[in-house]
Amino acid sequence: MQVQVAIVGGGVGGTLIANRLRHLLHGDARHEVHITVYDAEGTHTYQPGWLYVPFAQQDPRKLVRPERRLLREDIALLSGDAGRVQRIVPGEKQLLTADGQAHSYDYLVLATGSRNAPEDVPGFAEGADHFYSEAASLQLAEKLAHFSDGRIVTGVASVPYRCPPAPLEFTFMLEAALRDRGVREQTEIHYVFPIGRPFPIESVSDFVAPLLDQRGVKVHTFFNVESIDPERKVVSSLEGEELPYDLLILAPPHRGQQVIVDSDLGDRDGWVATDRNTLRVKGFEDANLFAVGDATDLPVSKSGSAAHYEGHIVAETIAAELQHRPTQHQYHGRVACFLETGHGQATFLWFDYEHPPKPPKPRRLWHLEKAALNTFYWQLIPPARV
Amino acid sequence: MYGEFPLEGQGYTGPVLDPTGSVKPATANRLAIVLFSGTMDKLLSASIMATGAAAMGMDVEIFLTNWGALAFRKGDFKTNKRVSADFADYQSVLLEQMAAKHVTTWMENLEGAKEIGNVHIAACSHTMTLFDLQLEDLEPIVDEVTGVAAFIERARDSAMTLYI
Amino acid sequence: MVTMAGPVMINREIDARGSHCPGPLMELIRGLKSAHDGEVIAVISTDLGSNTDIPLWVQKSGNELVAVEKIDHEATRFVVRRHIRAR
Repeated sequence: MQVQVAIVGGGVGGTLIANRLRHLLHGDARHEVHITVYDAEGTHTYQPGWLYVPFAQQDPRKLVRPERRLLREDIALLSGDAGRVQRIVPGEKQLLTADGQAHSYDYLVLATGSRNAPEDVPGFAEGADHFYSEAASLQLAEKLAHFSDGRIVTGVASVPYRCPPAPLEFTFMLEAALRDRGVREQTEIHYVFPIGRPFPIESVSDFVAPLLDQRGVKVHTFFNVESIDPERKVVSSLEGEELPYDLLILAPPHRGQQVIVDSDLGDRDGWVATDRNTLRVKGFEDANLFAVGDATDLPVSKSGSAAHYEGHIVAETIAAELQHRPTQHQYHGRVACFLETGHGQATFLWFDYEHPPKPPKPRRLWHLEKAALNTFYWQLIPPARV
Repeated sequence: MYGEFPLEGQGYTGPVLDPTGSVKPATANRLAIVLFSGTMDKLLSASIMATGAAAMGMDVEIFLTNWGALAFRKGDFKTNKRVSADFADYQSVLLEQMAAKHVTTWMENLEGAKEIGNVHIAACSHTMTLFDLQLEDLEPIVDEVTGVAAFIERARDSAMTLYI
Repeated sequence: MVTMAGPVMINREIDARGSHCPGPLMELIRGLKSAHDGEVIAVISTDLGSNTDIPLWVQKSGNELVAVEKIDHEATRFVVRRHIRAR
């Protein structure tokens, strides 16, 4: 019996699911399972590496590899227009690609990720810098290299955004970089954040707040960015605060991909309503339709870590169904990641729906573990070895 | 010759010895390490394995036996610079590189692993008796003294067991 | 749901039980951002911190805390109406 599994998006989630599923079904002669990954660019980027590009610590080209090389040989990859999915029709179990083809599927996984939506905050495109793309991080590297004095404002422009730790980590790294260059005295660093503390997790916030204070970073809490005036160089908050800047570096607003919106599978911001345990798309429980990673509306961080743990569950679920085994696999909200606290130290964040995080005190060990993950990502995560 | 052995560990909650002797599938999400060695190079290796496993959500069970147990005597880790005899000529290179690259020590790694995961460290009762040691003579990171049977019961269904 | 002020229609409910990062407050902010003026968003939280964090944020951001309902011994529903400030 022929079974078509379509995976839209060759990022962390999509690649891992394809490889893991292929592995789980290996040698199973009962079905002929065809797994196809649809990815327009045909490349796979290790996005956490962009954090280091503005400090000239990472060549962004080394963060990109061909998706073909990350997928097992017995998995099909469609890229270019053939891989650009324009519409998904769950009622017909079909997807339509930009080359005019219609593809039927038996199982579909939405792993389309998120996109930067600068248009959501007036003045962002003209006035703000960020490191949430290769181009933007390179442009920022240029600006930072020539920055010698003035005020830098960092933080987030909107929620949700990829990787909650990143803007905070960036701020620590920025402070250290400016000091190393000998221009810290002439620079003011301001950090803006929408809630009442510098980081969502209270215990983490409790130990980073004094660190930010020690390093002279002025923290503006309850600062929900409303608009940016690129002429006057002022960023304004919903709460009525105005902050002038010389350089503005904010995580950009995010939205789900256009194909989700065009297929009527997303909410107003293009996020897919997803069951928090089964990862099936809500409203399509019997349609073999799953969603993972940034693309979902789940109350977990938009991170590779979440996509990784979710991906394993989806692969196991589909394999179990095809092999007529009972499925006990559920996603329990697990996420695990590192948060750099500067000075070569980091902490480790681990939590799931039932267990709140209990971050250990910052250690050099976690900084090294993070560095190890950054280095060995390609061997460990996309091939689903871990 | 060995006299009385200390009592097995109190409050043991691991799997019970299967009276039928049937084999348990080695699928438990646990890394078990028999840590026989007491040289810095091998202790570092064991600690990195333990930390990596803990960070990945695996339980870790370490059994300190022979030189491994001695390496955990109070304060010993601060002065233990031994390396494996075969590579004694690399000792200074190793120490230099570790200092230059600010590598975390094996004790720091194990402390970190314990902070974020379920890491259990037991010292071998045979070794302890042989060297006239009590639990209090060891670093507090060691949880208890147990016999080999207790460790094997805890380790036998582990997905991964290492002998270092 | 029914409040002191009468029945309130919740336009969207976000189940943020067991959410730690970015957490229930950030989920509420996300929901409110895409809400139209006057729409009502509810978030369910099991985080004890929400009891202080959410009402405080709602007040500072100029939105309206319509109701706080204890669902069970762990979860609380916070119901918020979006008010876009006139400039």
